[in-house]
Amino acid sequence: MSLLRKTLLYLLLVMLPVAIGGGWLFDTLIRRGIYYEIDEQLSSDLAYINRQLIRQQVAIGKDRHLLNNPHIEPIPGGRVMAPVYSDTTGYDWREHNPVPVRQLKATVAVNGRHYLVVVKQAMGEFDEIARLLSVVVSGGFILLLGLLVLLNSWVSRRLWTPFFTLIEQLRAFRLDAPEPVRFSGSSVAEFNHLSATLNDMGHNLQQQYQLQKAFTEHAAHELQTPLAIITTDLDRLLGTEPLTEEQVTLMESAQSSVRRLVHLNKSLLLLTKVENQQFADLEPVNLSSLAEQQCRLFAPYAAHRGLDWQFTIAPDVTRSLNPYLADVMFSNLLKNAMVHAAAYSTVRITLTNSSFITRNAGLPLPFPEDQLFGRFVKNPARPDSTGLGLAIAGQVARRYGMQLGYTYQTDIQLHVFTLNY
Amino acid sequence: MKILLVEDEPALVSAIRRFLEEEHYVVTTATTYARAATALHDYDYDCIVLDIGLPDGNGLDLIRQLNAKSARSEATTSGLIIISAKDSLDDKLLGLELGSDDYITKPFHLPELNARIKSVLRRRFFGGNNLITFGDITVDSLSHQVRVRHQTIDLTEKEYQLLVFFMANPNRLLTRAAIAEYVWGDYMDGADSHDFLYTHIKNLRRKLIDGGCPDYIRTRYGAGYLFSKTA
Repeated sequence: MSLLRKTLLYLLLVMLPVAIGGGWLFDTLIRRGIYYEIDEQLSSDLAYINRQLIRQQVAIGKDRHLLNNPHIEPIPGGRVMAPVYSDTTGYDWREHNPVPVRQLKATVAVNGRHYLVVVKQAMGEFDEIARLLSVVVSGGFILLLGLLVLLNSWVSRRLWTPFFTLIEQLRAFRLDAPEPVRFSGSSVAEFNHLSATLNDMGHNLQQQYQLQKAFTEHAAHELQTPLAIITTDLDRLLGTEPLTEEQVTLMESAQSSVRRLVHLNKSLLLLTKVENQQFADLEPVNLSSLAEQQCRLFAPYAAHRGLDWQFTIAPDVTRSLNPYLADVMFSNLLKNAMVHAAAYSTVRITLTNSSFITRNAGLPLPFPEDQLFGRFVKNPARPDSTGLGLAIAGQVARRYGMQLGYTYQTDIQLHVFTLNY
Repeated sequence: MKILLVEDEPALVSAIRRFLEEEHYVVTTATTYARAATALHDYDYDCIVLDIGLPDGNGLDLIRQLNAKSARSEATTSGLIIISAKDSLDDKLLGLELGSDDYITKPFHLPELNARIKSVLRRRFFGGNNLITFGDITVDSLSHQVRVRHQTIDLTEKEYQLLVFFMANPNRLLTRAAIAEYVWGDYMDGADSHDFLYTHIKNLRRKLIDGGCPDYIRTRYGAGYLFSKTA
């Protein structure tokens, strides 16, 4: 749930009890006020009647008003009671129904005679006024709050726009982007601050990444010259006489190690270049002829390993790729299938309109499956592999938005690599 | 045969120079772009081995200079082999486009460079004669036909490459690593390739002997091979 919605929800949740409680409170207060005023009115009415009784201007026992108001009745003896306010109902003979009434009952002593005086005030109208007021006020409150919510959501939406823009830019942020990302500023100081911070961070990250990349590339390049010198020096050394078998064996072993190093170096350089998008040029590559050519190239080696090397290749499957990378990706996948196939087993290679599949028998992976396309992940039984072949194939596939997947069929011990293009 | 070696790394220059001199070439070296340009301007060479990554200029410009020179004079054009530290396809294509005969990536084995120089010189200077002979073996480098005393021997492509490599480096100790690098390049790596190479050499040897050829391929010191007429 968005921050905005959550805010609105909380506002609404708070608003309802406040409106209900506030309405009740308001109603109570108004009623109290009205009662206070009415009671004051009643006591002044009583005082008035008292004065009239003194002046003998009142016809006692004769109701002159609605609701028998005021009701004055002489009472015998000197029984005096304190004035009592109470709520009751009176029959309104004009409306033919009982109506709520506030009355003041009191005894009045005038010229030695005692009267019981009851003054009344119909409350119906006041109740209605109180109710109406409460409803109007509560309604007004809800309406105002609703408006506030709407206004708030509108304002929030406007205020948070730069924030969402930043998020979008952050989502699009790529460490390996050729152009540094500029996060846009805002008139809101906080967001401006955030964007400035992000800009700094992005700049630093990209700089670090570029340095790292340049380092790998330079390191690989710089390694080439000493490797070339070692290679030629060993060749020269082999041309000297006399040599012993031990010397030659050592030199050969050194040459093999140098060759491994050279392959490793080339692979690393290639990986860096793929990551650097240094193979920008695309052209239609006939995958069928590429795969066929490579299958034939590897066939003698497969035969040497006693493999049944079968390939089924659909004709004229063409995709737009960098030809060199396509070559590398296919040869790495084929090499993988060939090298890791169990001796004297069958390797099946299939190229269809949508996928390239290699199937080779072999023991389960000696490492977790999710590391398969990682760098320097290799079978401990084959320590002289670079461990980069599948990493490169994976990187090239990713580069062109292709899916390179792996499954292992446990029951028949079959490694299946599928490249969907 | 005169060779100009343009390479900025002194250690490499001396190793390559000695090696080529053993092969009876007359070798001139240049370690900078400026010296190479002067050398190219002043003398003619049969083959130029050029590292295009020079510190003071682009080696590709030297090729352009060479092309301009051969366009002016009637002298036979030099053979040209590019050495590059970059295994970059663009450099390779551009180099070949500019008229280089071959391209070799650092690091390389000296016997491989030797084989390539021989192949370039053959193409450039012995036009019409594509035959390479060693003892009883004659190889036609155009048709890839191999004969032993006029009898054709049927070899696979890899066996043919192996034989040519051996014939380019007679009487020289060749290690399995160098041979494997030449025959398979990047396609094959690891210990398997040595085992595989052994099978190939065994097959080649058997085919040659079956064809009536003396056994020229000799194993030396357990880890190397020698292609030689004398035991």
